[in-house]
Amino acid sequence: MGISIFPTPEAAGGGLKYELISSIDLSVGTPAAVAFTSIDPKYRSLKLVVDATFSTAARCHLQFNNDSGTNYSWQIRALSGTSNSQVRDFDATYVDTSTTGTDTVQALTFYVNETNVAAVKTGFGNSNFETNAVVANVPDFHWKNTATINEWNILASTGTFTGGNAYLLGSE
Amino acid sequence: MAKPNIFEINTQTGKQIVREMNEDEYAQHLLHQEKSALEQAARESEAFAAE
Repeated sequence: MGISIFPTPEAAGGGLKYELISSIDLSVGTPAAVAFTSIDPKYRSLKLVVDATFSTAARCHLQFNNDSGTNYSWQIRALSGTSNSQVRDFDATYVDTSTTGTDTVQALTFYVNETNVAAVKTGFGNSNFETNAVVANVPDFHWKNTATINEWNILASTGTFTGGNAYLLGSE
Repeated sequence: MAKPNIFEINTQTGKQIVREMNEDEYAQHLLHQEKSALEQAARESEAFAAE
């Protein structure tokens, strides 16, 4: 497996002043969900880089602080082959990372800003499938909560994670 | 049936835990996957209708 379109976290951290906080080996325990917990509130901006394989065609869903309430709004501009589409959801229970596609391999990068100040959180990112490579997504979102982000949750939309890595980076 | 696992890493201590979901987490997990499947089906239906 290899995703070549994203810089390595080390390279990104150096160039964009993000430092690697933690990483998760997604092959350990075939989890259905993973969580970066106890995130240091010194970070004002967080960056998540995931290169995941799934037990069945799936995609990642994101939550913060283990909040599964209807507190997320997101929209995604997607390209599937030559077809453009845009999907959005208000008052969702998670941030989606793709519109209609699923795949056994997904790479994504997400940023969220103002993570440690009392403001509604905003974020954006990109998401690509590897074997279903004609599908590309550009998502952005709100998390309607002013709490400091202390946990970033990544859920498999179905099945479990079977491999790859998740990296959390932060910028003060 | 065994419940799915959660992998947690404490980003300040580096401590990693892989554990089975508790009852509340499992209920949330089932709800999430059911909702996800329904939304996926609805979007695919909309995409098909638009073609």
